[in-house]
Amino acid sequence: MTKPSFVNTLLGRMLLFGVLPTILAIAAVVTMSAIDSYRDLRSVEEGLLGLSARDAAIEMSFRNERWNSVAATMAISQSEGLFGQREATTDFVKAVVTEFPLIVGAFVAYEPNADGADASALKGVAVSRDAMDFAGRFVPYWVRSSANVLLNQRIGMETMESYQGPKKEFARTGKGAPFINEPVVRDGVMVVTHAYPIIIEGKFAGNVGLDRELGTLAEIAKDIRTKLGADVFILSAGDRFIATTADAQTASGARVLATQELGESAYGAQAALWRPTKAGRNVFEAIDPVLGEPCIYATSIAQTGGWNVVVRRTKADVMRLANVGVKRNIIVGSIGVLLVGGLMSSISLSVSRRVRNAAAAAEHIARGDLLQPVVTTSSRDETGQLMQSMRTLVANLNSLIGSIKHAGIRLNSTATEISATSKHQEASASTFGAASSQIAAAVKEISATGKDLVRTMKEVSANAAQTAKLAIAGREGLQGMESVMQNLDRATTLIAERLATINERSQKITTVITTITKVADQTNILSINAAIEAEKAGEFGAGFLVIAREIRRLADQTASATLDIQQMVQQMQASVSSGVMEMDRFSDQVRRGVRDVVAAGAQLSEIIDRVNRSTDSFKQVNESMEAQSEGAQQISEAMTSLSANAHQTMQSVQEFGRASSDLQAAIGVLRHAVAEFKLKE
Amino acid sequence: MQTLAVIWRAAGLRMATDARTIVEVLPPVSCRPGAGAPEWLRGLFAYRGALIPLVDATQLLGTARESDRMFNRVLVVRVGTVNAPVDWLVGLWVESVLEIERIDFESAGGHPGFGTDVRRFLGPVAQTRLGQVQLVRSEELFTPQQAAMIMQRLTEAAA
Repeated sequence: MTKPSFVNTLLGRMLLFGVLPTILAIAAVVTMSAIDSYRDLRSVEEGLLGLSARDAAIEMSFRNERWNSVAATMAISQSEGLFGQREATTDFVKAVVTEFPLIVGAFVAYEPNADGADASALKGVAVSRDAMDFAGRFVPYWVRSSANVLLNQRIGMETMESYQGPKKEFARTGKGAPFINEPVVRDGVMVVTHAYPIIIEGKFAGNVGLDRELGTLAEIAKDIRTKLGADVFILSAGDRFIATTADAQTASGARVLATQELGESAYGAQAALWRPTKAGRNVFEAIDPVLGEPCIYATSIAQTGGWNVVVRRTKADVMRLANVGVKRNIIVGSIGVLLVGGLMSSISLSVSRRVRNAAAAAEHIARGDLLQPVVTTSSRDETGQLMQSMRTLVANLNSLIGSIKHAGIRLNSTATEISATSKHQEASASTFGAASSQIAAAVKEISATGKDLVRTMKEVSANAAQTAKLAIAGREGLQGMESVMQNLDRATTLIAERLATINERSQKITTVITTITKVADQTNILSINAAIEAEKAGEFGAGFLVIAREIRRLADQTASATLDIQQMVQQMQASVSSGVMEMDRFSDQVRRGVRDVVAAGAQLSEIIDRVNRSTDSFKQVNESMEAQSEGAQQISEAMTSLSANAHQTMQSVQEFGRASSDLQAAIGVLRHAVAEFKLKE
Repeated sequence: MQTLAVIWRAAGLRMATDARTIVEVLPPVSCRPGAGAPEWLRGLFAYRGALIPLVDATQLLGTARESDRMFNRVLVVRVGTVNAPVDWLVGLWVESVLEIERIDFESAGGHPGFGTDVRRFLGPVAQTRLGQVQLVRSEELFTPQQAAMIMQRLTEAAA
């Protein structure tokens, strides 16, 4: 059984389809919650920042309103009685400067000859010349100079915004309204002028104003910073820095940002963002060019004065709490995920282990190994019940297979015995069949042989009779032959004697020939000597020389002829000698032949006697053989029948043997199948 | 000049001897061998009441002696030498006598022989119907030493 991949295991599936999705869901919830929390916290922080900006703006507005009220009170005092009373007015203005330490200067400026007393004033002494211009126009301007308050002329005010601003506003609306001008730096101190028109009988008769020192705004900004932990920038309506908590001090102690134009400052690039496009809360995030880190800004416009309050906090500072919240969420979420994951994994592992144990037990059972113990568990859930069932199953299978195994063994031994018995029977039947066949064949052969023997005996009987006849004839022939042979013997002896005579005669011829040869030789010598002598005789011997030569020739011829005769006689002698020897041998053979013929005759006589005596015996044997042959024929038929029966028996036994072999094979299969199981003994 | 020559054979060679120097031709004779005699001297045999030496022509010619045959002949030759007081006879045992014929040893076709040579039996050679035949003169039959030895014996016998 191949081991499944982890994904295909129960544990893998439980982890993959149970634990993992749960963890993912919890993680998603925690993440979303953290994101929401982050957003909410950021929103709250941004809101708080915006509120701080608004509070600061309201504070600025309130303060401006307050000083506007003072300016308005001064204007109202003019319209309600003081107008034209130059001396009292001068004192009143001085009293205002003296009364309010924040006021560094206050003035009243009439329109030229607004009270109709310009000319007379030049002549009078009641009012200081410093309170009017060269034309006698009433323009007293009390200015705080260290501990004293000095009266100056307010000259050139026609060109001043603090004068023209309220005048234009009155001309436009027909109503008096406070006016705050753009702060200016005066004697190293930023000053803003609050102005209010003097309206006499519905006409613009001049205006009053007071110069307020803005150094105190820096303190206010510090207070806000202390409260919010945020930097505060206060800008005028003309986008000039009035006060800030984030201003760097130069070596000379001068403030860098204060009194600077926003467009010319380091924050010039963000000018568009700083000035809100709509009233109220406006929050944005940007990289601070001075701090060089992301910061969150909130801007708010003061209703009175149109001043712009910008509150700045670094993003890290703002998000600290949010981050803490998110971290807390993540930690709590992670702990939750770990707890849930751990618990579910533990349960999965436990269940998977039990199911794996059950699977292993089932696999052992499938392999037939019933020896492996089934793991016990204390669990009472379904897996525990499954393990208990597996244990019961193994025990039951052990018992069942054990019983089958014992039964198989007993059955196998019985089948083996049956098989052996049937084989034994088959062998016996086969042996019996073979033996009966052999007997039948033997009997058949005996019958046939008996018949043959009868026939042969008949032939032998006939032959014996014929032999007796022939023997008798032979004996008679032999008797004739014996006499012929004896005659031959005699003739041979005679021939031998004649041949001996011839031999003797030829020897005599040889002697004669020798003599003739000697004579011829002598004649030869004689002729030679005759020739020699004839030569010595000279011409008398000439004729004799011829005769001598002839004689010698004759002698030579004689010698030659005698040589031929000698050779012929020698050949004849050799032939006669061999003839004599052959005749001797022949004579011997004839003699032996005569002896043999006589012996053969005697034996023939004996044969004839025996043949004559055998004829009766042959007859008896013949009859017995015929009877035996018939008996053998009957036995053969009986044996053939027996052999057929034995064959049938053997076939039956073979069938039985095959059946028992099949039974054994089936038992073998059963045992093999049972043997696959390993059982407890 | 034609000479009646007895042509004989010895040691496989055909030789001829002037018939006038031959006293008689005899069949094989028995002789008495002389102890310590040279091999070519067969011994002495009786001829017409006198004992004369029997010399073997085959051995005289320098080859081995052959067994005796019935057709062997003994030529009784008269040997005449310058210093000899008497003519003397000697028996020359030859293999056979072939023919008696007149032969002209000096005619064209013959050969004068090598007479100046110290060797014997180198007389003139003639071509006959039997083949080449060399003439053996009776005075050239023996070397001076052989002749001297025989002569001494004969002289002592005569004295």
